[in-house]
Parts: sequence; C-alpha cells; structure tokens
Amino acid sequence: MTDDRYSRHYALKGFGKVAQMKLQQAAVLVVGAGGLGCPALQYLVASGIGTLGIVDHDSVDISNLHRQVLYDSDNVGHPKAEVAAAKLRRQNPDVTIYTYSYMLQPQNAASLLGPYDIVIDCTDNFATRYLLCDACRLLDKPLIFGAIYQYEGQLAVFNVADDNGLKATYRHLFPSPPDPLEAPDCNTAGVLGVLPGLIGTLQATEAIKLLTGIGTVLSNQLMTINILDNSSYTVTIPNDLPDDNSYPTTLEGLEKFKYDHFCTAIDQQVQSLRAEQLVSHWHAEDVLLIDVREAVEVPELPVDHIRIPLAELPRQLDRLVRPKLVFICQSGKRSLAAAQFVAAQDHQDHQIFNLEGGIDHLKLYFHA
Amino acid sequence: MKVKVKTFGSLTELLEKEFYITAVDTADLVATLRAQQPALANRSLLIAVNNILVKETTALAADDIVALMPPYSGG
Repeated sequence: MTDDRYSRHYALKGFGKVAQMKLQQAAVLVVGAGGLGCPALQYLVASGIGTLGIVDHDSVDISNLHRQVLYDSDNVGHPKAEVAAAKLRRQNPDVTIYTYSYMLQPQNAASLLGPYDIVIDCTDNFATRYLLCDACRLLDKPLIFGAIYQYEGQLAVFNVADDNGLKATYRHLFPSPPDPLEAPDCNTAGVLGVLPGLIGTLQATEAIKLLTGIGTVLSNQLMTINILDNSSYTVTIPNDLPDDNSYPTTLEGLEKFKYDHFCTAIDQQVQSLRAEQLVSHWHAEDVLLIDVREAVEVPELPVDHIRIPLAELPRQLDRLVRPKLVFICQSGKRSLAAAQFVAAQDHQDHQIFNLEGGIDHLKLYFHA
Repeated sequence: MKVKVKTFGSLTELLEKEFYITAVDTADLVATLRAQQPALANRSLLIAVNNILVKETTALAADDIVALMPPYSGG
C-alpha cells in the first residue's frame, strides 16, 4: 500500500490509517456489475478495499453505456465482470479482484458469498434479490441493498443488528415478490443515467462505513431518494414487525428453493379459491385443508384439517399428502405466502389453492 | 381523520404524488384508494405512518403522513 494514494484518507478526521487498514483487510462481493455495480466498484477500488469479488453473467450492451460508466463502446459484447476487472485493476493495483462470470444460483450462493465480509446487491431482478436476501440471512452477512426505478432509488442495509438486536431483511419489507409487470426493470421502464450513479455510490458509502465503523448505517431503515425534486424519505422498520413469511431456513433448503418460480410463474401455480367454492369441496377425500395460523389462533376450522403454523411449514412439507392443498389463515395473506412457498418447492403432483379472504370470509359458513 | 398521503415509484402513475384523504385506519385508507383506482388491487406496497413501517391495520390520527411505497427492481 503506497502512502500517497490514501493520504487524504489518512488526513481525514475520524478516519486515518486505522480505518484505511480495516478497508485493506476487508473482502466485499458486488453482485451485478450494471448501473449500481459500476460506481460501487469504482469507489470501493479507489478506496483501497483489500479484496473485491464481481458477479455478473452478462455482456456489455450498447444500451448499458448511458449509465454503466465502467464500459465504453469497444466493450460491447464482452463479459461485464472481465471488462470491469481489467479496468479496476488498472485503477488500483493494490486491490485483489476475483471475477465470477456466471449467475448467482441457489446452488452456488453459499460458496460464492462465504469468503466475503459484506455483500452488495446491485442486481436488476427479484429472483436474485430474494436469493441474496435469504442467503445473506442464513450466512449472517451484511447486505447492502440498492434498487432503482426511473428517477427514484431505494437504499437499505440488511442483516446488521441495531441496538435492539433486530436485523431486518428485504422480506420484512416485501415478504413475497410482486408481479413482475408491476415493477418493471430499467429495460422496460427507462432510467435517468445518473440515478444508479448516485445510489451505487451510496451503497459503496454504506459498505465503507460498516467496515470502518464510522457514522450510522441505514440498518433497519429504508431510504428512498427522488432526483427530480431532490427529496429523500426514510422509514424505520420497527422491531415488532411480524416476519410472517416462509423462506428457506437452512442452506440445504436454499439450494432447493426455486427462486425463478417464486418470482415469476407463481400466479399460475397458486389458484385463488373463494369461501363459497371451498365450502362445496371441503369434505372431498382428495382435499387437504392446511391452517397456517399460529396454534393459539381461533376460531378453529369446523371441518377436518391440519394445522402447520407458517414458520413451521418448511420442516413439515411431508404432511402435505393429498393432491389438492388448500392453505388457510385469518385474512388470506399468510396462506398466500404459504401457498407460494409450497409452489416454489415444485410439487408438480399437487394443485395448490389459497383461500381468498381467509377465515374472515369463511365464518359465514361455519354453521351452515 | 384527514391524513396526508405520499406515493412513490410506479404508484405515482396511479395516484397523485401527494394528496389528502379521510380514513380511520390504514386498511380503510387502502380500501378507499382501491375502490377509486381498481388497478391498485393486487399491487405490492409498503405502508409507513409518520415514517414508521406498519404491517397490521393501524389507526390514523389527524395530520398523519402515510407513505405508500412499491418495490423497485432496477439495478
């Protein structure tokens, strides 16, 4: 490490050689080398991070160049991770850079993330975002989240405990993914080129703060920035928020979880059932009713059923023995999460239903 | 109660960016908006009351600020 390169960090009050040494000893993995990843990588490399990993399976496209500032016209068609690494090594030879020119998958997530201290989510799709969220939670890795839409960006730091010990994750915000059509990516919705530059730079900032212990990070908070009116809006994720969804609870479960199904085709796999439809079928021998409320919740269903609280579901899949599975809770929300979870397990021999409106809608029929 | 609503991201294409509405609690507020704007029906959204995220139905007081935030996927 040459003294001159980091002299302004050494001179900086509250930072100095001690903080610089912490950066030099750190390993950071950046997943996605696109709009968010480019500025995050450039500033982390400039700052003298010891080891950097770059995950991206994509190649440079000419439509990337208005915002992905590591790439130039000559790079079109070349793999992003390799092009980025070559430029970043010239930018700062002190940094050891590893490239992974393939997709992050449930099967490789644990081994890819394992050696790194911090993971930065610079991805552009929900399947990878949920996979990163679950993998980082299971591996207890800080995850620095960034996402953009047209002129607005979201930023958060997940899996970092606050004073109460709470570690919020993306699933605290959105337990299950939206319909892809309602949250289009930059290719569909467009994006102002400088927006990811701002959000990606803030992600690098949060990483540097976490690694060196300076300042306060956005742990258990979600910040939204609007570049049209220069406003920012930060909301707190309270520590009593129910984390009411099923997700892989072990690394083995993570490997088997079908994130692509979970984030795209679920709507076709989970069928919505209205209370009056259920009532006419609930005694059928091929139907299994599964109440996913907690054991203490009432009223009890007045017909044959089993109870598996939502959090227990991943460990009790072997109880789902009939061809038609109907998930039920109080309002229809937790049961939808349960049905989506089971659909993501790819049980092709099952038809999966969710009771719309839950027991609240079904009560009318209890004495019928 | 009359509260101020702020919308974010793609929700601004369906609702005004800021407006006032009368609602007793967050469920009432969302139901009213969904009745006015059916395209909201299946949208994922976060609800924050005075900058704190809420998941359960939460009572609203006069002048509360309710933020409605969708997920963003771009990177």
